[in-house]
Amino acid sequence: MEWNPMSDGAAMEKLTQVFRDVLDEPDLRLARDTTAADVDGWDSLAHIQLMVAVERAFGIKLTTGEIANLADVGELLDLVVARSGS
Amino acid sequence: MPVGFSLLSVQFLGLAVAAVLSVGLLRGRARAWVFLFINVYFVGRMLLGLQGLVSSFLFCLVGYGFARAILKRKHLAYRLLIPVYVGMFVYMRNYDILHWVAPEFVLTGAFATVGLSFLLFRVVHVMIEAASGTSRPLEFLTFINYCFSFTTFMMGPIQRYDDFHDQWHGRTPALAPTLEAHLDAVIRILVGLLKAYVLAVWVQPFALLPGTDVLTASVTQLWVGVYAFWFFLYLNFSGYCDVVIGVGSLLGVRPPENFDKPFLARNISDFWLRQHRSLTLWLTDYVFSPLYKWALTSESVLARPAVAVNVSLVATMVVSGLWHGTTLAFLFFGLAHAAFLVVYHNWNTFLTHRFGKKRVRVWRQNGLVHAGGIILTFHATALAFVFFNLPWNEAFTVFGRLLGR
Repeated sequence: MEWNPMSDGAAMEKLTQVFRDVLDEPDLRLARDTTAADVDGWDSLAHIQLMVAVERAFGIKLTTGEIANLADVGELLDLVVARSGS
Repeated sequence: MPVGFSLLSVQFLGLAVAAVLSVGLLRGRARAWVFLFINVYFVGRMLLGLQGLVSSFLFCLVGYGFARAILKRKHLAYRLLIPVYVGMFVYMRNYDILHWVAPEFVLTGAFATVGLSFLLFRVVHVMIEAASGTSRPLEFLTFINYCFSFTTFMMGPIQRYDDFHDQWHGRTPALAPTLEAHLDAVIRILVGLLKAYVLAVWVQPFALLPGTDVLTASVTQLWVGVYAFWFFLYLNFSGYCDVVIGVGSLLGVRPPENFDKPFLARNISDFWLRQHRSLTLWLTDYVFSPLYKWALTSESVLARPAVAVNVSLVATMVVSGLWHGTTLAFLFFGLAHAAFLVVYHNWNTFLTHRFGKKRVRVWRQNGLVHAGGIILTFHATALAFVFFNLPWNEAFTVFGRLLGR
């Protein structure tokens, strides 16, 4: 089977949908520099719910250190793209 | 602060000035060795003595060895090395619970030194990051200076290794290179000394302290004692943090912020983001989050979101309580905060489900609700702090008397 790494655009679209579902914000828009402070309801509790949903949606595993050190959506996107393609 | 230690002593102020001048001006390995000498002098000569210095050093050394082993064999982290290291800490701190389960002749309080709890969290953080593959390079000299840094050794703030490493190696500046920024750091030190040695000293006589006769003191005295102890703790601890953040900034490694006006916290969750913030973030990253994630993805009743969150909150606050102290009173402190967080979280969830996010948001912006939240949070946290200073049975006597029993 041919290896088909996920593009940033497709990953961002999927990531946005995950965030909308978990945070119950249908109109939410994400950018690479979006942080938890920019999104209403993205607290430490929602952060873990988001990470679990991201893991399930992309079929990947994130470590404790990776989850703790994520600074913004861009870092999460890079991690998801790299992990999905590996 | 530990008995007999003073930030105002000539010894400490001299050490701080010497550190700022030498570490701030030197470069390369000489800088690291001089900082190590200063840190060892502080811990061994001014704080703990030779025995405390040796046991703290061995504790760090074992942690370094474990972190190195984890870098090579990541699977050892959670199954073996971190539990063994935490067990070593429990033994060294001589927890009350050990005396119920182990024979007396194997137990000793000789290793129970000041700063050990902070060392534990600093080192365990390094191990977890090593297991996650997200650790900065683990250099021995940087690691030992990170563990022993005189600015954070005694009472935090709990700095992360990556933060220390990046500032130490100049990747992140501790301070803007302006006169104004340096003056701000000096003012921060003076404000800290004012808090810890003028305001806290003024409040202390009114505070509920060990030895208070809780049976004969009037109810008014008890309330004043509870309030005053809250402010005494805040002024003492945040004053100390101001001093070490100011000194750290000047010498090139600024410790993280630890307080943000906790008396303005509008709920218990907000309180823990304003009070001892570096501890809260540590517990969130390394206890609550992994536990909550594990529960959500487990194939048991724990996977139900409501169960997962409540169990994780209680477990995290129990860890927090036992980290603060070795007696049963600290367990009660943790359980009290667990109860506050569980009630707050479930109340919040109920309101959001019942009325919707938007209405709850508007409601929260109401001035009366805001003020009510501040008053309620202040009282809840002040009452829980009673466990800090009194044995658990006396603490319950205080609560009974405050309730008119």
